[in-house]
Amino acid sequence: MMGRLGIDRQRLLVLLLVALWLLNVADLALTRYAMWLGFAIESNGVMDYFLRAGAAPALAFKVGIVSVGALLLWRLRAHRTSLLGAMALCAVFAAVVTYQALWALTR
Amino acid sequence: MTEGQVEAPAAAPSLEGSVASQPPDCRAQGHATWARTLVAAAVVLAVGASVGALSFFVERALWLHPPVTTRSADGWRVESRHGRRFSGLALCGERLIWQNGPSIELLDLAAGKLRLLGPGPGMRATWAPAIGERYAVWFEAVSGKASTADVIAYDSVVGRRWKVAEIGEVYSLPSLSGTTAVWCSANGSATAVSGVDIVTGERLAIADGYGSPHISQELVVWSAHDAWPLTARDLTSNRTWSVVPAAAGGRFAQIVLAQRVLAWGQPAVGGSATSVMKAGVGGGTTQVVAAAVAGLEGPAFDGTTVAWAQDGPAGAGGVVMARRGESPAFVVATRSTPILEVVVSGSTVAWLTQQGDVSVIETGELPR
Repeated sequence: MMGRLGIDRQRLLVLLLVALWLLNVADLALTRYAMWLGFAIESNGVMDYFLRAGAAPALAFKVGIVSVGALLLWRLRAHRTSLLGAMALCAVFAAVVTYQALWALTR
Repeated sequence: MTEGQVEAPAAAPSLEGSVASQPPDCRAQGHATWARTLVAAAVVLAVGASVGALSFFVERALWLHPPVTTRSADGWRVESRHGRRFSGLALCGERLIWQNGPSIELLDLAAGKLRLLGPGPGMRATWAPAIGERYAVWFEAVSGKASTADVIAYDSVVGRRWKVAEIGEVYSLPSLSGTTAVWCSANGSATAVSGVDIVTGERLAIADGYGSPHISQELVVWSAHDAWPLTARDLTSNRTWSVVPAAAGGRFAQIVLAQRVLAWGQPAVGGSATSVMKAGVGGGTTQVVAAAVAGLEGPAFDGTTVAWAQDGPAGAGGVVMARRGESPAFVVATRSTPILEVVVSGSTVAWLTQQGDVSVIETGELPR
């Protein structure tokens, strides 16, 4: 399917993993901002623990876990599900970051 | 090879160098492939972003029910939606704040920008807010019958809200001046008038027992049962004294304190009409701002202007009135429905009416 459209699957996977990494950092920054403004709480218990510990631990955990996930998807790039997984994750993160960005812009 | 698996390329592609070293036809094809791949990635992101944006606007439209704000001839008109009711108007300078059902909303009168300030995550009940020059304060709780509530402050300069303190049962609305908020609450059987510096979090114990306090600068006044005398406490000197201005007595309709001057509604003995009066907390003469007012709502007072609402001509609808100093009282607005609340600050007056299922807040400018 991708080949027929003239799309390089591996290049697409690289682009999506880079976008995923950037969206992940944006998600953390916007979440921290909303929490600092007092309008949001972190409902993920694990992430809440790291956010309470400080910005550096939260950044290390969130970036670390997504980086490991991205490397895993890259290692499994021979599988079509790797690309589908990256697409799904990117779409979900784009949805979350867009929601948060709109919220921040309308404050 | 198992199902769902494709053959891996012999080597990972070189993303830039291979294109540059290829013949022009291959290079053009490589660029086209890159372009199509970028478009595919952009489509994935755009689909996600669209879902996020759709969720945001659907949530606002279906769940938050923000009011409709429109420009009027000399101010703003705010209308509630979906049968929600406004209450608890407070105004300071260019900021108007109120309750919209369980929500706390603030309108920047200069920009016309509406902000939803509360309730915060996990909270379902709020009480009418108070607003000062920079900060606003209100109570939030998990329910209206909760035995504890949080004191929430909002900094309009930074746009940040935070929990200042936890209190017991709410017995009065908060009053705010500068960074000091005061209220009456109960912890178990102990009722007290107390306060807090919303910036430092330092708690103030003002008096034991019930009282609905009002604060202006460093002066707090309260009364046990909406009746004279008031008790006044200077927070700087800790001096406490009783206040009964001349011509005041019995119960009062509503009291407001601004710059060590009280304005209140004084019901006539045995009559239905009420007079609007004004007097200094330290004594002196009492000024009758308006005599024999039918259907008084208010008064509101900002230290210079007294504003109030009264029944319209022949008892129909309502009229918003104002008076500055010794100059005559004048009509600010006349409406076909009763005026429920009035607030004033500087040259701005705001009032609340209920028109069927729709609550309406309007603002107007006072003549200079």
